Amino acid sequence: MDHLPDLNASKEASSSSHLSKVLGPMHIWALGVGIVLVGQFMGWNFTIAKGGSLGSIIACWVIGILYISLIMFNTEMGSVMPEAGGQYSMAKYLLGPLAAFNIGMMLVFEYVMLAAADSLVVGEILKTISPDIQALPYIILSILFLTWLNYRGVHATLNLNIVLTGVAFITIIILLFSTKFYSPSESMIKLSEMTNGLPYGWIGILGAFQFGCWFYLGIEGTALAAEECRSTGRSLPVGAVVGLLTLIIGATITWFVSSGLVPADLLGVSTYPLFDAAVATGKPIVIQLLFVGTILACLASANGCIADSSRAWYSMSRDTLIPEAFSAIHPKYKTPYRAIVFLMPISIAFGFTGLLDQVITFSILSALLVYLLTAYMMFKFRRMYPIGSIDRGYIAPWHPFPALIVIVLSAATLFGMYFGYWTNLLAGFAFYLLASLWFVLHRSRSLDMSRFIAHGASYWPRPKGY
Amino acid sequence: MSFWSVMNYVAWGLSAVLAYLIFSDFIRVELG
Repeated sequence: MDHLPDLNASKEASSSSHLSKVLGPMHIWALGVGIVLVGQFMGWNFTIAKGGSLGSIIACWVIGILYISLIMFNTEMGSVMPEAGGQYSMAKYLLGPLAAFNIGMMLVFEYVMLAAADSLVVGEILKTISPDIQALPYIILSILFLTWLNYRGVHATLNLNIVLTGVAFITIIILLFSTKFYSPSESMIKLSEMTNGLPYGWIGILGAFQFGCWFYLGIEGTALAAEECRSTGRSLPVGAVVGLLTLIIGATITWFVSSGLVPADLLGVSTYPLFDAAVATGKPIVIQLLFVGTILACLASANGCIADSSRAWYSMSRDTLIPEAFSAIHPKYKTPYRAIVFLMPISIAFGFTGLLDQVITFSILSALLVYLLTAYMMFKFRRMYPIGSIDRGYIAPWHPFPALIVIVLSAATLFGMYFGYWTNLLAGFAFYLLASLWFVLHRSRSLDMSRFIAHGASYWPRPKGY
Repeated sequence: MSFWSVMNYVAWGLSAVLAYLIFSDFIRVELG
């Protein structure tokens, strides 16, 4: 998912205000689904531990509505931003430095935690080959290998990500058909025997919302590429909506196959649910395919996460929100090498814990806080720049309902996170509060507002009422 | 010692090589 501006190209780009417009709907689909598809291979099944089998599929669809609403207004705001950077850029121009600092931090940790979770699953799934295999050296090896690739600036190209994403998705479809679900007499799917309904009642559904996000978390990143679309008004909404529909269909298939093959009490705590479902079929070729599919999805996702998190950290530094030392560019590889090296041990440390559900929870918490702020930004954006005041690549329908849906469902998910993960919730809030205090009391003195706002000020007209 | 036990050491070794490649270049650039 290397859609953030290539730093090699930044010099060329600086001569005009736009990056090269090369992305079509297919690329946008790969950008959105490339990082997120790993959510079908791991993490989503914790919804079953929190809400039961039925709570899991309800959470999957309800949270799907949250993401459909989110990409509607996210795409509108992304289509008018003067630079790539998604919600971070939006916060810069719509909410100011403190919000931009927080959203930047949240995006960085959303992706750093996802990379840690990806490497953790790679280490754990390798242990299924032999009991002699240790997970830790492979967790560290996968992060170091992808860091080295990104350090040298040869991270997988967009077209390779399309291939990896396609292959991983095909393995899910092969698993589905290997169960002969279409034949009542031969089907291996035993939903009535394997599932456990709603063991915690309706409150369990609220609890399951938390990991329901994992099916889709990151799809909103498609708005990051607005600047590089051939036709923003068509490519971005089409690519993002088709990407989201792919994920909703994939999530439903994943739930159906896994819940029909693996008992709910085992599925709810599995590190690699789709692989466990493949093992339950007893077919060696399917088991091997899902083994490879899981590792490919994890590595493709982690690669994109390292690229994205380091570029977000670089952008914050360039805008003087964090020390400017991090915005140094490698003289030979033209990559934000200090940001890449700085974030690497954080990923390794969280991968080292082996606590997959808690690592994922910190990523989800960061994302939910970004969604709440993004929904608030949409209200402010429509007030500052009413329809017709600036040229929009895409106009979100039915405003303000999508923004209200995102606020209500994000708040409900945060409430549901309290059940079972209240310490993580408090720790996450405390972390962002302390970071904000550091920014307000110390860092804001070094903030260079002219650099921070320069790009937007030369690009947009004065907003209404300012 | 089984094949996979040896592979654990290979993974540690490769990790050390990659860490060396990253940090040796990093230090070289910073000194520059």
